[in-house]
Amino acid sequence: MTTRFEQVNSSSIEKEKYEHDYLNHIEIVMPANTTDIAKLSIDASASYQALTLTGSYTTKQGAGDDGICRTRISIEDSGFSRKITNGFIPVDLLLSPGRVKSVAGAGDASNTLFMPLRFKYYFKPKSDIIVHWKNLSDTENTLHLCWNGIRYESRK
Amino acid sequence: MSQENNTLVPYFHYSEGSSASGQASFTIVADGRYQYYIRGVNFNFDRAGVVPDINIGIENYDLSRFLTRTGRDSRVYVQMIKPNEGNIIGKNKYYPSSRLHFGINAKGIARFYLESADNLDFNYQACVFIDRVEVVL
Repeated sequence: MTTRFEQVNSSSIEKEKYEHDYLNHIEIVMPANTTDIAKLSIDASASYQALTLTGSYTTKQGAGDDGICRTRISIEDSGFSRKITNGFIPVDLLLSPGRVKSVAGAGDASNTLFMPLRFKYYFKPKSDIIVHWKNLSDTENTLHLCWNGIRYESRK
Repeated sequence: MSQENNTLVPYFHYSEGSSASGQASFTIVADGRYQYYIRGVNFNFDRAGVVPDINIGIENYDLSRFLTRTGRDSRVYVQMIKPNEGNIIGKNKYYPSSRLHFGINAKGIARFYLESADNLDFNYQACVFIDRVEVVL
């Protein structure tokens, strides 16, 4: 198996387009004990080549912050109708270490070395990155996801 | 079918469970349409809030080959998965392994064996990082 992702992209992306680095970020504020979806839309005027994923999450529970991750996500691309996970995954396995301490003095130290997770994926213009999320905590938590990649837009 | 028509698509395979008699395993079966590259894995372990001493074996079942030095008894990944404070379920502080790199065919099988050094039971969570080889029409 010696395929290269770039070979597909070169055929998928029209020439004479302008490209630049682009960070696609979404903040998801998750109410307590809730399951829902969030969408990050790709512009109609540009496609997006994701390269890596970073992110962070809070671990609030009750009135405190015990450092235990209770957030799970699954990821889907509407453009190609692809599921990128086999179900809900605890975010501490994806974004590790990405916990942000939100209550001073509570729980273990924050671990905010945002090491990128390889995520090479081509998103079509007008597609959505669909994040299904679950907050299993009895307190509101916040999740940040940021795809690092390249945006290809038409020159006008 | 030429290789130029293939692309690699990230896929994240999650598994969780408990051991029996100190042993657990989980299997990844590649979708019949795709070959899989296994790129890395991240684990959480837990036994009453502490990280037990776990040995890991990784097997490319297609090739009847273990990727860990002495099969199921290997401690290849212990340095990564057994820090004092990390990898307790829900409190992972470590970046996923990027050391794995092997392929399985469509419908192929990769197996991960987990075994506690003291044969007592434990809980686990695992996320395997995969690139699926898809055909672009």
